[in-house]
Amino acid sequence: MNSKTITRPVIRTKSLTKIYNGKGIPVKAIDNVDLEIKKGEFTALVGPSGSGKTTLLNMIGGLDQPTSGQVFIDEQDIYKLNNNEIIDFRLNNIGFVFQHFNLLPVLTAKENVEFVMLLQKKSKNERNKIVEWLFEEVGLTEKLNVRPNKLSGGQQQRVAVARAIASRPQFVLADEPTANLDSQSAADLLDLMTKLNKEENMTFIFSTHDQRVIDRARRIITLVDGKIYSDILQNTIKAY
Amino acid sequence: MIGSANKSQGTRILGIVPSEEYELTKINDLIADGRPLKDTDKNKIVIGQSLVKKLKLKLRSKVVLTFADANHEIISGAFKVVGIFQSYNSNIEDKICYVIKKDLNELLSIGNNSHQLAILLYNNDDLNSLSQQLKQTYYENQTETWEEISPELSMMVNSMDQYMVIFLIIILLALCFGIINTMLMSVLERIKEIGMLMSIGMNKTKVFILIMIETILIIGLAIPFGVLLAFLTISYFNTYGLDLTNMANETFREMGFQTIIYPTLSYTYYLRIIFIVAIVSFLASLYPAYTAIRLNPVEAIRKN
Repeated sequence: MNSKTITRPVIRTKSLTKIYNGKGIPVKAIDNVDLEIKKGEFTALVGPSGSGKTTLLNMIGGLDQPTSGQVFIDEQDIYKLNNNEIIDFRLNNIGFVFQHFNLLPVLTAKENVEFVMLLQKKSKNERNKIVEWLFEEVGLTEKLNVRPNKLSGGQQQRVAVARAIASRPQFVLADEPTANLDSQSAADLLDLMTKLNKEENMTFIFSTHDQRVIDRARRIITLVDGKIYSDILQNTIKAY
Repeated sequence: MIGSANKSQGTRILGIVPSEEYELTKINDLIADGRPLKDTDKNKIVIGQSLVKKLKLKLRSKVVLTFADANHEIISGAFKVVGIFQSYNSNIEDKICYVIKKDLNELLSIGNNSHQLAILLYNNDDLNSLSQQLKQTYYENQTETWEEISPELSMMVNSMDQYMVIFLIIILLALCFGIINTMLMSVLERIKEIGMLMSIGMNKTKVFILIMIETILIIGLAIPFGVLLAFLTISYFNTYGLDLTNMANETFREMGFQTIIYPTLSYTYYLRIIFIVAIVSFLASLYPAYTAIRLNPVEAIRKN
């Protein structure tokens, strides 16, 4: 890997703005945000409620159309893609971890993880190999054929992480991933994601209030009123 | 005219060939007392129950039939009552009696001539074309369809057909709303799930197909079950009859209808219904599927 590849941002936003028209009064959820996130970063988006963390995450994930500005993933302006193209782009490039896990209750843990690869039309052999590797990584090999309702919150979230990375995305977006977990489960989940980040060079971006997540992050971006208030990288505060 | 020792009354005397007549009118099934006529009978008569009461007759009583022959001369013949029928049609019971055609022809001195020939078709759709054909070929004879003989019955049958169409439309509308309701509930209950699927990369076409496949599976289960239930119900009533005696006995009898109905449904009708139901269900599922693909993943995931 050459140095150019390492430093190239996987995510870049340019003058990103989102305005909601709540009760006829325009509210700026994201205000002119310029941001770059490089491959392999372990980033936490923090800030008070209503600061725009989830909105920024959704726009980076191609889920929420910005009012103005652009989002580039690997230098592809994702909002120039049509509806189906953007969904396909998400499928192949972005992994999602939700606060409430959002596993399909009728499918087993294995099927939940496999589902995303079915959408990618991967062969059964390939799917089985990836599932085996993923469940080993998340430490749930014995829970392959268990339905989500038989799993603890922490286990469900680990399955959700496995699902998020099953498609081999360029990065994983996690919206408050530890919000519904007890301390031990949250610590286990963070261990898992840290390991995947270090060993697989996987890029993670979290929105979080959780100090435990913030403590583990190597880059902390603080949002206030939709603007980047601070961007701390390895104990270095970058002022805006 | 039919006369007993006590009384006389005007009547229609039908000379029949029993074995052929029973194929058509099933009058033999209506015998309440005694037996139906046989081809080999000689000077025997079958009369209706109400006529029996009026003339104070019983089985094996003798009656005298009086009528004009081909030469307009009044002739009489004595017949023995072998059977008494009870008809679902009070007009038939009162005004018709059956004798052997050969006996009647001898009295009338008309050889082996016949006055009436009934043709029973397998398919009512052939009625008009055959009638036209017969009218052209045997123009010197009178050809009448059952609709011309009994226009009020024809009108009633047509009305029933129209009622059936109206009932079918109402049922299909109910089915339509049922499917929309079921599938819409299925979509609305899984908004979060569908939102998640769209977020992780399931495109709208696939979501649409998913909802359609679910509908097809429901229809695939419901149609055979419904058809089987209909088949069993119709088969049961076809065998044991649907008895409307308590509802409209006299009305039905006066109109010439049986008070016990034996419903039948042709296989083509089943196929037609299956096809219509499948199409209607398919169309009804379009709206829920459309609702699903219009969901915004961000809003859908936030729903509780």
